Amino acid sequence: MKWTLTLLIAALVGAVAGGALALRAASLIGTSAALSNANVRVDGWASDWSIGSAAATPEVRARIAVRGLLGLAKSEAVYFIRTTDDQGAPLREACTYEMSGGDQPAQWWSITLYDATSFMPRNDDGALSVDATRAIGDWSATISPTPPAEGLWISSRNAGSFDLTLRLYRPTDALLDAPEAHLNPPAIRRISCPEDAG
Amino acid sequence: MRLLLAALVTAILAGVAAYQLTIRVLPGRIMDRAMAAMEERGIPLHGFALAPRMTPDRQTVVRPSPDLAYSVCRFDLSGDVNAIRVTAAPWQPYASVSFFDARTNNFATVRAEEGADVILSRHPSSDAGIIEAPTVRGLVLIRRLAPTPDDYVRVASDAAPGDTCAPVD
Repeated sequence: MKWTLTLLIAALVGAVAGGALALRAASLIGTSAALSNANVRVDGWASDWSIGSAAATPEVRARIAVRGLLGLAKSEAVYFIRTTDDQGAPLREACTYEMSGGDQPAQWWSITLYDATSFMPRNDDGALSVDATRAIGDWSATISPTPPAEGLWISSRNAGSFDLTLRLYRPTDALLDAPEAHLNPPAIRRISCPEDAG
Repeated sequence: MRLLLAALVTAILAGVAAYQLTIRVLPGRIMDRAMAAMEERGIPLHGFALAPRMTPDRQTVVRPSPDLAYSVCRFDLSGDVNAIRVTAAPWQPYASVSFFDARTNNFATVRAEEGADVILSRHPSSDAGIIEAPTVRGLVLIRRLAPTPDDYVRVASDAAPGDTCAPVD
């Protein structure tokens, strides 16, 4: 009786712990980033080339199902996520950033801001992204909770802690073969934060 | 001591089993919920519906792109339906038709700038115009580049009405 009860309790504890670890690996609980086990990293931008593929590990598939359901396989699109500025500090609503970049090795690209729940921030500013139809050649955009005087703008109002997703549709073979050599990773320079004024 | 060791081994084995089961079952469960939610929102079975333009108050799945117009069709190749025909009206400069199975895998994508016309079948085929579905249920998604409200209006009037997703007799 003692053995049976002890082993039953041990099995239950183990199962709960195993299930919890799986949910954390899928980023359903805890604070795991959408691409915490990225296999492609270029200047702070992280991606996983197995997104959308049957070859993806169970952990990647689970995480993408939670954070990026219906993501395309890399032959059609690749997705890079950035969570920090150029100094390595987490991106957050209260600060103002300048993001700058150029052309990308793809038919079309865009950069969209998402909050910590992987949704677009709940504001009505109509400034959710920049894309290749507006950011042409060498471009720059302001990321801030209030609009700049001029230029491209992505609103972080009501975003809290956020990330930026760089989508590249119909990426070139060169990018897929050697992303570190061919991606033109946008820079994110922190201009100011409220604590800077103190 | 023996009891403690047995308990530890039991806990580890149960933990590993629970982890593997959960991590493998989760995508299918999430896809089931997503398809059920789409059904509740009126996404038809074997027919395309153009989703409203993605804005913060209309987003229904994680990480939607506000620069794309999405048309969605649910498919179910069980029962009497062995195959569906999927057509997409042409759209420039970017359009694609992507197919997702019940485990979230993007098992096929075709270009659609000049339009698309393919058969999705439950059975394998050597015909280049026929795609085999790995699972009987899943989603077909058309993406069209539409970064502005005017672009979206043009998709709604000029392209989306020409999309079809219907059983093949």
